[in-house]
Amino acid sequence: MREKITRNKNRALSRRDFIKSTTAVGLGAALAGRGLAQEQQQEQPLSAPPPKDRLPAPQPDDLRIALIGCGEQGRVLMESCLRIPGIRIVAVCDIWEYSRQYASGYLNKYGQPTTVYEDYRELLAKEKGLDAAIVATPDWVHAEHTNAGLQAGLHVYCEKEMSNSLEKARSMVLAARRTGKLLQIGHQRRSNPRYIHGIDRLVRDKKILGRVSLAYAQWNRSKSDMVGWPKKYTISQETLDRYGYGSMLELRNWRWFRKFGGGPMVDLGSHQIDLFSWVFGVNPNTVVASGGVDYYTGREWYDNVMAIYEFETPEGKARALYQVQTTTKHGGFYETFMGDNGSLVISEVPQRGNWAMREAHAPEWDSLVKDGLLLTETQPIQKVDTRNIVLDVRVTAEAGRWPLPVELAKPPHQPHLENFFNAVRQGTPLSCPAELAFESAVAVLRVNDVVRTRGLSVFRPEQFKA
Amino acid sequence: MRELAPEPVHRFAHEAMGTIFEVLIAGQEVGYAQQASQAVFREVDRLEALFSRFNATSEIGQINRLRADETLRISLDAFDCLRIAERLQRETGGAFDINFRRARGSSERPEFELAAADSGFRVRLRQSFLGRLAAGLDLDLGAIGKGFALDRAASILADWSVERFLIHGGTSSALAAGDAAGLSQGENGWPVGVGGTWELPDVPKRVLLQGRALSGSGTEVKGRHIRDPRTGRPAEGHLAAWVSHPSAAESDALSTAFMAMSPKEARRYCEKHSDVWALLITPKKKGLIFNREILG
Repeated sequence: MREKITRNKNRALSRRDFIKSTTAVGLGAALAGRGLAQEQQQEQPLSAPPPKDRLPAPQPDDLRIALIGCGEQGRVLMESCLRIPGIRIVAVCDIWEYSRQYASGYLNKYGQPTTVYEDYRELLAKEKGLDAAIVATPDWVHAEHTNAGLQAGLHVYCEKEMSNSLEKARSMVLAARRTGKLLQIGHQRRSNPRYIHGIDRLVRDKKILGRVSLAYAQWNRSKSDMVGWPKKYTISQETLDRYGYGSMLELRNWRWFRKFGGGPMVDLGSHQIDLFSWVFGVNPNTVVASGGVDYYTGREWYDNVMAIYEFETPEGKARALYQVQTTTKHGGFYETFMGDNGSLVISEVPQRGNWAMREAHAPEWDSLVKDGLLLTETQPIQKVDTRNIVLDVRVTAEAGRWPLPVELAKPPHQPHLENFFNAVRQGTPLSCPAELAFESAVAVLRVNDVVRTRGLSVFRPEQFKA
Repeated sequence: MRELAPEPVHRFAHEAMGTIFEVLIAGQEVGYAQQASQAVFREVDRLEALFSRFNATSEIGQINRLRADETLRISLDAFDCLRIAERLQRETGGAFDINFRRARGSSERPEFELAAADSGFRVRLRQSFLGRLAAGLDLDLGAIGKGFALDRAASILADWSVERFLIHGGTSSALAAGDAAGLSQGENGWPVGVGGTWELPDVPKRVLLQGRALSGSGTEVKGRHIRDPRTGRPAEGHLAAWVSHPSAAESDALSTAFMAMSPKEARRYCEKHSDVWALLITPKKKGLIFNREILG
């Protein structure tokens, strides 16, 4: 039995994304055209499960996907793909047997038999009829894997950061341009309906925060040891050498090494710093930063960084402060945008941020509530005109938060993958095409340089162009 | 002759699922044991993110927001756990019920159904048969999720070739394999306490756990927090229950179910399921043990 879906309807947001909203019509219109197609929820009643040994027949309009890199992030993306109708992962590739086995075993349980490869070159040479590749390998080989995929005629979804080298990131933009294939970079907040509503609709269109002159974002994590590996899955030194890793320790902890990654600033910061430009509508002019490898030994990348960007927005100067800490989880991860009329606190985990706060002097927001653009937790102060008093004096009226009415009832990477698959199928726009991600990479990678040189770095506008 | 130093057992703790998980490992070098424990804790965290009912974006959070006749694609992990829960609900005649918050002994309680169909695993909220707008589910994996996580943790440890371990989730469920030479010289298995503070004749205070799990449920920590889902009222009855089963998910769930089951129902269950060991402390402080031979 195949799921009954209407895959090709480019609906804006499903009812499930608007559970709390009373009047979602205006929102739907505002967000239409971003390619957020949703799965139709109405289905035929389910019959008894098919026998375990009967594999579902592939459908002719399924998208056939190769997953290159089946580590932690690859598995997250695989999980999300399995929730999207019409997507079949037909080949998986990883240089580590443990990851390959996990992914192919997992997909097998979903009735998706896969061919398993150690070397992506063999995958690209042998697999016929692929539509797209998902690249979730360490940053330093993103360009190699992405460019080869594009060259082989595939559309590519590549994890962020594009690369730990700006030159390689540029080569990805150029490869996409040259081949005419789609390249989506995994800054998944760009497709998150909560972020789209908060930033595009409330901050940029409705300007509910007034003039936004400050942004703050952080990603703080508890201290953690280097990760290990099961000894029976140790890769031979010869194989490690062939793929450029000096040891299993390097492979498993590649994010901490300069050759392979960009450190926590790039791993975590890239998601959030990307939002600064989205909100301000311009790229930064300058950045200052401080940080170091102050806590851990045996790690090459900075374990703590603080950076301040300066923006010249159409409304005037704005600054953004960012910090990443790897020895305390205080405050977790979230982003805040502050204007003279209010602020917006948002996080990929809604409990950490999904609301606006209004300055007392700001124009009223009640009409936004009426229009379904905001919710309110503030109890209105009762106007009393029947008892010959102007105010009923009682416990302090608490200024409440104004939660966003949009929910994302699916894993956070799923809308970004859906955006990519919709673009492949229907040519709808990508939320984070390579050019846009390149601009973000310029801003993010520069911080590591500035931490080293302890200076102020100036961005020239042309540097954001690949 | 010089006495050999006792073999060390390495012990690591991690906060998850509202409690403390611990991994105890014997027969491995400390650094390796620590890395293996971290892999276990990452798996527990991953499952917590799927199972938490306090997070609207978790799979359980999403299931609890389903409307009548809506279907949700879920992960294999959630599907597996829900499938065990569904079977145990059936086998215990409803004494175990992850939808207990909606259970009031009423025929209108919302029901879910699972399907492993083509391209994925799904859960659907059944339309109320009276045709009225059905209430949503309020699934709570609190009495099975920790045990389920321990079973998954055991398979991670198998990947790591760790053969002698004890893992527990907040002490209410423990799963052990191999033996702990340093802790139980000359014995097979990991010694764990059982039976609570009641000093009852013929009830062991300590059992050896090997290749199976032991879970405890009782009134001493949170008071009488267990309701009988079949009636919706606080479970009348036992002061505490312990269940042992090869699977920690099952022992976890059954220890809760047995709190609500009469001694007769518990006996019948254990006769039917010869791999279930159980100890009940009745309101009159009598200790009843079923399938006693399993834990010697």
